[in-house]
Amino acid sequence: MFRTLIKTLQLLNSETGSWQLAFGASFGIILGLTPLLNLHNLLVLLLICLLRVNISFVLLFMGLAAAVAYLFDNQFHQLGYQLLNAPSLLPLWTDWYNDAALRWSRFNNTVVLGSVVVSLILFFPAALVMRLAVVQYRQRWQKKLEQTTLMRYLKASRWTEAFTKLGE
Amino acid sequence: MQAHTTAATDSATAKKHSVRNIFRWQGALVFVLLVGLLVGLYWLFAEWLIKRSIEQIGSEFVGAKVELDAVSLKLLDGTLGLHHLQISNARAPMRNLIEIESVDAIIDLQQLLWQRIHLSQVAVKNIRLGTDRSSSGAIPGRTPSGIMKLMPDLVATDWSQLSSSAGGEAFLQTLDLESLNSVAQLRQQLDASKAKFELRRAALPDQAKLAGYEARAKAQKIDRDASRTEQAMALIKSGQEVAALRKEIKRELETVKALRDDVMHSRDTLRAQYERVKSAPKKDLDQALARLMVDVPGTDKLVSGVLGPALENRLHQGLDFYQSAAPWINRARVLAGQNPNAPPAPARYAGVTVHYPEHEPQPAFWLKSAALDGALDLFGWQGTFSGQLTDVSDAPTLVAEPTRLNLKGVGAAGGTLALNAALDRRQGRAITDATLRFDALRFQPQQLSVQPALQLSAEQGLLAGAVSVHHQASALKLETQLNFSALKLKVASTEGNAIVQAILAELAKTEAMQLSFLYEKTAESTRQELHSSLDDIIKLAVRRVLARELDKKKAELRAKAEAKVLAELAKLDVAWQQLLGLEGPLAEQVKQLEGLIPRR
Repeated sequence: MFRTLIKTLQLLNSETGSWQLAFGASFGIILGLTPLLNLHNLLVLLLICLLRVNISFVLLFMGLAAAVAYLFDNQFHQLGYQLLNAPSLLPLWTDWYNDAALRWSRFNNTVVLGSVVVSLILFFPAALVMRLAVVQYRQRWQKKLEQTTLMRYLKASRWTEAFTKLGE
Repeated sequence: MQAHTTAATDSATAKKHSVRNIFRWQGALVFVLLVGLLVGLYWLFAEWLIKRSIEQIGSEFVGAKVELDAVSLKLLDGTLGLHHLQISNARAPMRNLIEIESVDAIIDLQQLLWQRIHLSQVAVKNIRLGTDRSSSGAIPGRTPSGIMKLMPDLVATDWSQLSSSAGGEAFLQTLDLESLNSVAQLRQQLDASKAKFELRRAALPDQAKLAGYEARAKAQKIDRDASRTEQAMALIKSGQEVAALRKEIKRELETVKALRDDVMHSRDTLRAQYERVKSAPKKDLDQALARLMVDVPGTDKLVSGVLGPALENRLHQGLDFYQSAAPWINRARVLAGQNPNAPPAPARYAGVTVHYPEHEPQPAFWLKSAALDGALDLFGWQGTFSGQLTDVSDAPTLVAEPTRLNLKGVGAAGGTLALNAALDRRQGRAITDATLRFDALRFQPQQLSVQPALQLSAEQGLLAGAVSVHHQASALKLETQLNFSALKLKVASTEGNAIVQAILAELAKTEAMQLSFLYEKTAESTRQELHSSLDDIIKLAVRRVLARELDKKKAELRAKAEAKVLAELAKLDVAWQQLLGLEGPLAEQVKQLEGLIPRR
């Protein structure tokens, strides 16, 4: 926990691009909100590997999202159920169902579809909000925070150094 | 121009840098490595996952341990093997319900890509039932579930109803022979007559009066020494006195004779009655005891009340099993994912899987053909069997043939069995047809009941017969025909009652028996017909034993009744003798009175 906090602060204070952090958070949200062992997450993993997003932020936000995801399972189920039974979408689902590869994606599961749709809807807004937050932090709060006694102590601490090395 | 070229090169370089800033191509390598790691892990743990799934789901299903030694999955070859599967018996944890040496199956890989499991050829080897376990199969805190929860306990037979002998005693107490009443009536009549005669006899002249008559007669003698006048006067006076005396004595004599005649008439009248009444009790007793016989409907009712319902109950429990198994079967359907209306579990990763029409519909699970072989040790019969199970599917409407199970068995000590069963669900409703035929199956010694009241074991026997079931929607027809022969039964009971022991002895003599049962249930009615020669055997045994017991009781009864009759007759004889005894004194009195009559 302590290491994660320090690592996060380091990233926020580093020269890492704000978009990289923002999209890292968005990808993390997808991984965290949706059932992990599904085919769509393989695609997300591929994108995370290929795109220059911050992997630490991916992992951080995946953990945060996964911690609260079960609270929304019922809503995911309701949304997925509505979508899977929507008459206008039935031809689409039927076509997908008759595709062996897409069937492995478990799109026809209410929770899987509901959570994927929600996380995709949240993807760009979350990225925008995250970028705005990172920029605002760097402009307004970074220097103030670095001047606090706690941060100076932490920076000087051997333990902090050791923890950050571990995280690198 | 050069400046323009430089600007274009800068723009291209910037674009290249921008693309580099977005993508990191070395990430593809990382991705491949990660995916490779995931596939490798799955490959490594797939067998363990399958093993754990079978054990967990199986244990949940039966409420006891389900153990599998090993799983071998060769996806490239399309084969799956299960080695040494043990399903514990939840009611007897040190035994297995089923033990299978190996299951080898060929998986259709093309269907597996569609997440369908199609097993084209399965070989199930060495199936054995009820085998011993080296360790307990019980799961702490778990109760038997599934089929084991529904298995009924054996019904204890209550033999105490047969042990009561109060009936015979009560009969003896209430025995009331008509002839004994006649004896008593005759004796009362004799006593009354005697009392009447005694009363009349008391009115007859007693010895004093007779002495008076004698004195008066003597006084009428003429003194020969007196004068003739005195003699003449005395003669005249005496003649009058004698005449009066004669008259008086004759009147007394008539009274005594009348009484004597009445006594003799009464004696003659009562003699025939006395003779008839005296011989009546024996005839009457014979008739009364002859009426005591084994009441066939009564004993049948007794047998039906004591043994019949118990036997019927057991069969009914067997039939009820199918109905009570319905929730269990439904649960199996839910576990198999056949019930789309099952509510979703409120845990993560749950949800409802919606299915859509397929262009080329195929069952999700289809066991096309399985060769089975194994050994059976059921109810003392040991043998081997082999056969085929075909077309087991979760979507029977997509399969051309119904599910069939054909088995043939051969007993170690001779005999054969054949099972032909079919389950047709292609029309949307299940139609079950099953026939089990067996012939000359030789039993090993088999304990049938260990109840203290009835320890029954079959030392040997042969069984032939057939069981057939037809079930369709709400209609069920079950026919059972069992023929036992060459039976050697061993029967014992802690019940000390002689009747029970005698019945058991009769039962032990049984060498052959038949049992047939028909149960037909439709939406409108239920028909049950049970024909059991065992029932007849027991009824016959009960009749024989009761007849024997009755004979004993009759002898006791006769002895007691005869003693009672003899006592009554003795009293009658006394009364009779007393009546006859009246004649003597009366005759004596007549003689005395006649002797007293003065001669003229």
